[in-house]
Amino acid sequence: MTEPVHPDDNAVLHALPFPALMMTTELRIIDVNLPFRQTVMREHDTLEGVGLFDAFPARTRDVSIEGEVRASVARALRAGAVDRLPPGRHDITLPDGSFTTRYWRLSHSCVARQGAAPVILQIVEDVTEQHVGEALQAARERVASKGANVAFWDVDLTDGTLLRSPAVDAMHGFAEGEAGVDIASFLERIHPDDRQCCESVITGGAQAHFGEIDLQYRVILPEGAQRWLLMQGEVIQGPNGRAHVIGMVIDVTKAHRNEEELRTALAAYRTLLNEVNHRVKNSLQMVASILNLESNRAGGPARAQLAAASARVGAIATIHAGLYLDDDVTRVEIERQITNLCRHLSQMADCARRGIEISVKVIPIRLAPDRAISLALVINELVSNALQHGFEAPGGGRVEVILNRSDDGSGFTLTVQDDGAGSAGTHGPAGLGGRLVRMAAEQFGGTISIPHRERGWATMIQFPAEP
Amino acid sequence: MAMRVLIVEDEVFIALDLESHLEMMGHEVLGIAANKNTCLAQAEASRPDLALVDLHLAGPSSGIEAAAELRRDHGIACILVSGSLHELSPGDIERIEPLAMLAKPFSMTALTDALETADRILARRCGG
Repeated sequence: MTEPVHPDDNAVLHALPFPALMMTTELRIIDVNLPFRQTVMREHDTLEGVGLFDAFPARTRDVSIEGEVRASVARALRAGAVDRLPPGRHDITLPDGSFTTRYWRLSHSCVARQGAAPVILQIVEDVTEQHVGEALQAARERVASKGANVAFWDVDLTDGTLLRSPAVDAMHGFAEGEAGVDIASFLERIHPDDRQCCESVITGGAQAHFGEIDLQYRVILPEGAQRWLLMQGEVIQGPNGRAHVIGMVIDVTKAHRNEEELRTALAAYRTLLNEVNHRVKNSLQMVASILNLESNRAGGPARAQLAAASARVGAIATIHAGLYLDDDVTRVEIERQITNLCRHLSQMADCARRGIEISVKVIPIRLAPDRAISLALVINELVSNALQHGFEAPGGGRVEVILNRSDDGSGFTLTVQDDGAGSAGTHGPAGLGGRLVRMAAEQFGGTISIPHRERGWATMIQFPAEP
Repeated sequence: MAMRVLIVEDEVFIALDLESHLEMMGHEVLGIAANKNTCLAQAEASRPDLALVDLHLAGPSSGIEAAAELRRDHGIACILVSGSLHELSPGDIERIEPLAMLAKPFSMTALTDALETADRILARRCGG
């Protein structure tokens, strides 16, 4: 229901030098002027008779000023005066179908016509650039306030004058205007341990050493507090051949404090680990000593039992002695520990006099401490048993402890064998010793087998690389 | 060769066990000291060939200091015993000049080795 409007009635509209349109109170466009067409990039489209927001549909419900326009028109009608809207966003469809972001300031006034329905005159102002400019400025200010702890500086190496942003003064603990123009007063604030390095790097740049500078130094503030600063810059050739260092300073105190706290915590942890480790080793020594003392005092079968108990503690102690010898606290190197254990057993059983040799062939591997302890216990029982029962007749012999990779490569094989006088059926640890071997082997995932031997006794235990 | 030995160890069982083994090996144990002061007093009185010193002694006195003073003031050499030998600094080792070091927990084999090493070094010193 387009109003029949005579073109002449709209002469004023077309004479306006800024974008404007006329529409019905229901927002149906009656006529637009050329500046309007140019502003909304619709120079050749038919807009007359089309609803305003059908011609300029909203991009989304959130980005539309339709509601405000309707309310403004209603107010203009009611008051019979100009109604101005604050700037609002309403994006415009481009000929290729895409949208362009636009901000508009609109005003509406009612043009009463004799004997006809009232017509609304809309004055259109595109304030996009102004609005974006303000937003950009606000963003700049936000960034600037966030970057307040970044400071720029420029030192003339020829005479030591320092041009800088006020933040540089603040970072070095100077009030505004306190520090003067010379870099010397800044160098005085630097921690004595760092000062010489800073001086030589900065002023040393004067010796035509052009390149990048990266310095971290401490500043002692007037009230005694310490601050870490990071200075990065470049030595460049300035006007008149004068060398400058240009760069920035960042306050990195917080990062340094975190680093120091971590270092302290790590040191405390190491001390604690050492302390616990020391106590465990000392306590094991004490237990072994108690058993030794009791064994020396006892007589009869009790003496042998106490000696066996002492040997078992010794086997555990041997592995502990190998713990924490290096940085790998989760796995223990067993080669040396097993060798030590066997030497100990050899001495306890008086092997040299009896002509018995214990040979140890162990590949160098690392095991978790609990598995290593179980392995040591097994070796202790098997070797002790061989020494006790395998060589009752004089003439000596040989006990072999062999740890190898399994033939199928999936794990390891421990073999303890002797060439003693024992024959099948009479050997292998009995009683507590036998149970210990079975249970300890199970702990490290081992499978026990007894290979047949012409002479002596052998025990073979296969176990996986990982439990 | 039989040596005259002072044991400096504050754990009573370990000290007694050491004493028993040293005696079995044919050495003479001159006494057991549990702290630095006793250690220095006994060393002064009995002039041992060798002291077996635990690095961690009870109380504020440390085995490191005891060993260093035995060496400096009395010219008595040590075997250091500890569960944490790695805590020794190069400076400590320079001051103490230990004849041997024995890591806890130690076996009697290790103790025998340490004593034999000490004996060899002392014999060479006397001879040369």
